[in-house]
Amino acid sequence: MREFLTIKSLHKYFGKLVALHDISFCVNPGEVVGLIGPNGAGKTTLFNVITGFYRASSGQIIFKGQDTTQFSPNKLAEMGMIRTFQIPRPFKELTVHDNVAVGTLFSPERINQTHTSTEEFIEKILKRVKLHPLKDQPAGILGHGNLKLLELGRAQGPFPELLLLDEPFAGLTISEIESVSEILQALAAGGLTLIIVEHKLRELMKLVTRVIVLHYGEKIADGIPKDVTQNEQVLKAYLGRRWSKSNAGY
Amino acid sequence: MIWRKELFTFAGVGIIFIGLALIAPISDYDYYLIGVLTSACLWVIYVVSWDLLAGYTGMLNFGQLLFAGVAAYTIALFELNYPIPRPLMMLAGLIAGIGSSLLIGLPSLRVRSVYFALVSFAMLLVFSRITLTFIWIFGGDYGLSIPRVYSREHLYFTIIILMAVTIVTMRLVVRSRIGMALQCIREDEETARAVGINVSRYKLLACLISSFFTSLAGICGFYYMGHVGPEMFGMMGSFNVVLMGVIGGTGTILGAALGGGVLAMVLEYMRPVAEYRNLLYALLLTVVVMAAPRGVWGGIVSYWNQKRRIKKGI
Repeated sequence: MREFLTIKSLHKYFGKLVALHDISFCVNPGEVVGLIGPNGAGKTTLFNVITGFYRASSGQIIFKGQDTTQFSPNKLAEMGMIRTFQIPRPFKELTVHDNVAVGTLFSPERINQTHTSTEEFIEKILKRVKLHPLKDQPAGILGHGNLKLLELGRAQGPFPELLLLDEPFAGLTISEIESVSEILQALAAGGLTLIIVEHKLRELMKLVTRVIVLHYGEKIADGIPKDVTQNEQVLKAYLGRRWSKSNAGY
Repeated sequence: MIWRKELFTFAGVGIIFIGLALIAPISDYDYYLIGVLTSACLWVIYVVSWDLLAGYTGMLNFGQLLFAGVAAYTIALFELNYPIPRPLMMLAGLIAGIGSSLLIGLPSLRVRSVYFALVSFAMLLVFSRITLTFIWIFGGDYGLSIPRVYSREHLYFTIIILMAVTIVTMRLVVRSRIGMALQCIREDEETARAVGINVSRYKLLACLISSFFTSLAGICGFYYMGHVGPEMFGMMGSFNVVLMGVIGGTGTILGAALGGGVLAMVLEYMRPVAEYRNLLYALLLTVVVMAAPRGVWGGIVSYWNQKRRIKKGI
């Protein structure tokens, strides 16, 4: 089988600051991977490098069997790698419907293979993210919760095969988190591969099949949620040395 | 389908076109009237082309007439120095005009918003300086003049056809996939990239389309006047394009056409009160910006929508 997403010893420097150091991992189709780490660990930087918004300083990224290290964000989006932003960035003057429709215009092949019409596909997305009643409103009037949903909807427009979500739960209420969780579960059940950056660990752990932990730009753990939460280094990174197991009696 | 949605535009453009075509023989080709209408039509083309860049793509271009000026000067140089067949000259002018749009387009890939506006303005001033400095080539302050080539009547009809074609084409462009991409770029370039839009390509495409029509208008204007001078690269001309666009309403094409047409004529008929012309103009701008920040057309549209919403009871 060809490699779906493979990261090989990725480095990213900003001047002398090491943002990412020797990151390597694989993601298989259909996996739901959580990407966690304390603030400043380099999660968003990793997202930006994978999706082409930043250039890697060294290392290699392979997506769907192709070396995409030097690819532009729009080229990657065409190939089916779509991201969302932590702070929603909608097309404010466009309607909710058009925000989703835009994506379908620039990568139409995959949609035509599976759907009879683009319009039907857009309707389906709008219903899935529960924004159907608001579809003719300009995106600028939406509140934060709905903007987060729109961010999810817009990302589905180009019919992604790999979706990178940057803190989909940030700033949401408990009930909103639940509905976003449901949407993500439905997407994962449909076979979509997800990589999720999130700080709300309890909710995240219910979703993911695997967790990767970053700390100061390095990968310190990679495994199923249960193992990772027991991991010595992870506990140290999150809670400080005092709370890790080896110092339990401190 | 897109044709049916744009029925209103086509009907409007059609009516104005027929009106303009009829008024010429009715007025017995009145020298002054034809002159005013011709210049108004040229302004419409400039402002509409500007709207594609500023209103749709978010490139606030302060040097729209650069394209027209480059095209006109190119043709003038050929007319005066190298008598090649006229269609070739026009082609050369058009290519030069479109080529000059790279001077606006390439910087736009790196600088945005206000900084882009400054760069576009600087480009204009560079050309103004070049024409004033190399007097032996560009004729300095006097510019370049040629004897009349085409009759004024022929040019009048050419220009009104060009205007109608420009407005219709622009409406079709902004309604298409290209227009969607341009609006996304205006709203948020990063998000545009994230959904698969090649931002650089679409920005350059917008420049190309905009400069194509502006250059054609510049060429027609040159043959109409038989003259092109450094005022083409002056501050007032391109600044007027921006003002007309803002007063008319950006991001609709139709608002820009309205602003360009009406204000060009208002300015012309205010000539008797020349001293107060700019004052009145400035007052008008202030009032419009305060009363309807999205221009006259934007104001009308939002009023209309509001009324419809009240009727529907939402």
